[in-house]
Amino acid sequence: MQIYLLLLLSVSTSADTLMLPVANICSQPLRLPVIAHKTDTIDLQQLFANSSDLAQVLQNNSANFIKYYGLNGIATLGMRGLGSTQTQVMWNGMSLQHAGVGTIDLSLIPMSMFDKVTIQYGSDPVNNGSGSAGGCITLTSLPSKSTAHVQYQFSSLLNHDFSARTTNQIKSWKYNIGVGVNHRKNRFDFINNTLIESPLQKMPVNLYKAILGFAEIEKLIRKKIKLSTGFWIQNNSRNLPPLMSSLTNNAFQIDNTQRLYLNLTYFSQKLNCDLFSNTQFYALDYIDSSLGIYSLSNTHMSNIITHVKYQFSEKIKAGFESSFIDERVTVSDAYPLPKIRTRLPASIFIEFDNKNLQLQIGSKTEIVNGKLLPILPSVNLLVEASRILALKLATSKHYRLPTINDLYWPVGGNSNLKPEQGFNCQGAITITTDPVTFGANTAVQLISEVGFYYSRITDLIQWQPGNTAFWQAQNLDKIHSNGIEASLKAIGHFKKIKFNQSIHYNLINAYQTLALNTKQLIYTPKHRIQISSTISYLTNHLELNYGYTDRSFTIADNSRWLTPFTTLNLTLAKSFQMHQTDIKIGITAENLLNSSYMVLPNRAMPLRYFKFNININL
Amino acid sequence: MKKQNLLLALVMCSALIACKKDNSEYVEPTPAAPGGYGRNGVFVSCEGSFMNNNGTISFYSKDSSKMFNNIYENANNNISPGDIVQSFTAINGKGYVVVNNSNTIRKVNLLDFKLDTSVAFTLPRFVHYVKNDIAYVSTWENPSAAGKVHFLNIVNNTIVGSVTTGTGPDKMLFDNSNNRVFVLNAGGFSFDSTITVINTNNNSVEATIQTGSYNPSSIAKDANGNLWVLCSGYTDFSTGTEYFGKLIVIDPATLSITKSFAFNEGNPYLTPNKLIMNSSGNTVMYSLNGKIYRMAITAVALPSTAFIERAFYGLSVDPYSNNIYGADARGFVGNGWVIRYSGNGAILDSFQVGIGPNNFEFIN
Repeated sequence: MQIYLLLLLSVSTSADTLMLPVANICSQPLRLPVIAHKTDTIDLQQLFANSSDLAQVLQNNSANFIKYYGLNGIATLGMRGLGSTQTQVMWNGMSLQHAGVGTIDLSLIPMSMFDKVTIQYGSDPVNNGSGSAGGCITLTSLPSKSTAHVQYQFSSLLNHDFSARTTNQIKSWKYNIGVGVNHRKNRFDFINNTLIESPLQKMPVNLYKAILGFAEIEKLIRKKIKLSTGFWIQNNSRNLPPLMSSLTNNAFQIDNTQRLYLNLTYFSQKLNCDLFSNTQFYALDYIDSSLGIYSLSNTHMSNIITHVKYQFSEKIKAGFESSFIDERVTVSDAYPLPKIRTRLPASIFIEFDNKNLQLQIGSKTEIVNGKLLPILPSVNLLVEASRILALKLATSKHYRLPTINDLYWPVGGNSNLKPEQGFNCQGAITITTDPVTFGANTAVQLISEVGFYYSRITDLIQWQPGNTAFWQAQNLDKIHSNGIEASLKAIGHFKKIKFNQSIHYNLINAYQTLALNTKQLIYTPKHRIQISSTISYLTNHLELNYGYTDRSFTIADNSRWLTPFTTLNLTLAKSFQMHQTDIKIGITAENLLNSSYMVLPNRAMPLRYFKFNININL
Repeated sequence: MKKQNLLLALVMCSALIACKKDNSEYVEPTPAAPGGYGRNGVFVSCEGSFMNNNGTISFYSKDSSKMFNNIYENANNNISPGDIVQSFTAINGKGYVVVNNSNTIRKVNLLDFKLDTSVAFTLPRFVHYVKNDIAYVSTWENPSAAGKVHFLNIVNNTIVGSVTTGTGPDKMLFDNSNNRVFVLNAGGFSFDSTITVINTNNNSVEATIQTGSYNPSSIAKDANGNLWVLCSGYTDFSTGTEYFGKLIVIDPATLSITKSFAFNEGNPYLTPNKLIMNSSGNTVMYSLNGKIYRMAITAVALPSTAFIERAFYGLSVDPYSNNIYGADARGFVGNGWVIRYSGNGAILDSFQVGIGPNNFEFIN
């Protein structure tokens, strides 16, 4: 069955929809372009399967492995086996990582407000900050055209998602404003494999409520000066999904998030300057009545960034960036006193651009609470060997401090933790063909990128079960990670059929070097394949998302593992016009193959279910 | 287009009728013990890692000098007993696998370890056979509030009554001379300082002993019939205040504390635990700061020199051989180990077991 579907996918044809215009985006500090790291871009506007959050988007459209603590549960991404604290998530130049825990729950990032997700594999600290050795996910809005957009989705899990958004560009103004409301029960069928008879069971209601307000506004106030601002306010409350072995809802979590930024930019032919400031506030309440845990914490992070870039000549640019970052956990039942960290990062960079060769050299350091951290150099090289072939090489050093929770969380925090240090090097070959025509009716363009990497991290910080019932933050000595990240896209049309095919493959060898122990890190599948296919015939659309996830080990000696699994989602959509309004309706069968699978032990994932959605573009 | 529609319809139909059941957490299989698990060996309960549903039971056969792992999974279609196997107790040819975070006790046939039945409890900790087909089951109910001891009829698997205890009722000891069960209120995720005494004639709470310290966590009876109780102490994380532990001796007839040894500031990081008694009942041993200490029951002060320089997550004495069994959880991220020592502390051998070994049950 799976082979049959794979064959179908491999021979199906497609259209020219994934190429994105390079449009201005709201308030991104003018950092260096990413030239030497493999990147994948997901154009959300071209997808017919409606993914409600970032975790689903990445799961369906990349070969990255998302750690799901069950539907409605926390979802994190650890690229290259290095853990979620080594994957940055950026919005408008601001890191969304929680200052207290150093990671972010991808299931709480709604996709209705964004147009594009960019996955950067590996990164350097000059461009992406510390804590990004695995990679960086960037969320982007493209308010380049006037739209008013309303979307509603209902699923057989008794979930309702509503969002409305308007974007426009009027003279010197540009904006992207939206709201979202979610009410989900997440009631799904699953096979309970913790019971001998493995019965088909219904997950109890895991209520999820969210409300979201979002705005990005940009104004060209002078010919060379623009001011942009934005906020993102979100409130989520949810029952965390119960364990398969108990099926009782005990844990409840409320996340309150407020993010605000302001950016003043001066730009001329030679000089670009940014004065960027942002502040973020997280309030996290966690209640587990069965364990008697009532935990609340308020975390603030504020920073001010100055960024200057000067074009000395046609071929040489250089610049610097300096920041002031204040991180603090002010209210917490866990800490008797507020925990405050003041950081002063600074970086310099120079870029040579000689037509077919681009070279970036940068260096970064940081003063944290008065202590100077090591200097972190990075080198990025892009060689365009021919019109279709490009070679990329990058290397950098990394350094990441323990988070506030790593150090001070009363049960399991470890004030003796050492910072993570390491380096990575990577290369990639990119082949982008021109559209090739076959007669008058057929054209296809191929885009392929194959990358390889090697990373070594010393003293990787990881929370592990300790010698009590509670997990503890520990340093893992000498983590090695190497692998391949490959993608192939075929975009084109055959008569009136447009097609867009992509296949992504990740190979991860991530292991800890101990005496006689080179076992794969836990929850790091070696192989993951994701195939996405969209086919449009006039106003009819079909999208298939097929994923294969290799087994993932659940304990360090690799004697236990979760079995490999496959998932297939199928979306059928139709678009039409009514009174000059574009309407698109779609139905998605999630997990069409009805696979019973687990991403983490004891965490139920849904069998087949259906989503119906309607999009109205006014 | 018609062909495409037909193909699509075929795909959808064939996919919709498919139901792939490929989910499971697999473990490398091991052969069953020849002759089963009914005699002359040691059961090791292995918690597994928290919330991962991978608790296991191992069995060390003294006849073959071999350790058999995952014996519950091997006998029951590769299904784990559940999340956090807290303890295991053998009673009259049956085994009781106490699965704390799965809120259940799985009753198995001791010989082949096939599941007989499951009985639901809320956060069960230990099963202790008393008499007349009644076993006591300590349950936390709420880790930060009062717990219970339930009276389980082991013939028809029904709960015939229960009493309320202090916070985090844990290990129990039956003193048949005085028809009393002593229930240690170990504090759960909070703290407690009491021992609940239940009269086994009428299954009611007879007394509550104030230990004078916090979190009584282990108990043993010496050759004179006196009860030794180790209180682990308690740390208040909100203030950073540490309340030190105590080793006390209780006269089971009068319920009075006859001796008390304080773990004071003279010792670093004081969370003493895992009190055990040798098979002769004249020497107690306990774990403190990553080492095992021992003292004669006649001693007047706590020992200052360690007996075994190693930390264990589980510790017990084989009452039939006087050998000491230490369980090393090794951080819970891989399989643990059991290290066997002779009664005088010499290492005999070691065996790999499941994740998080914590308790032992000896069977003759």
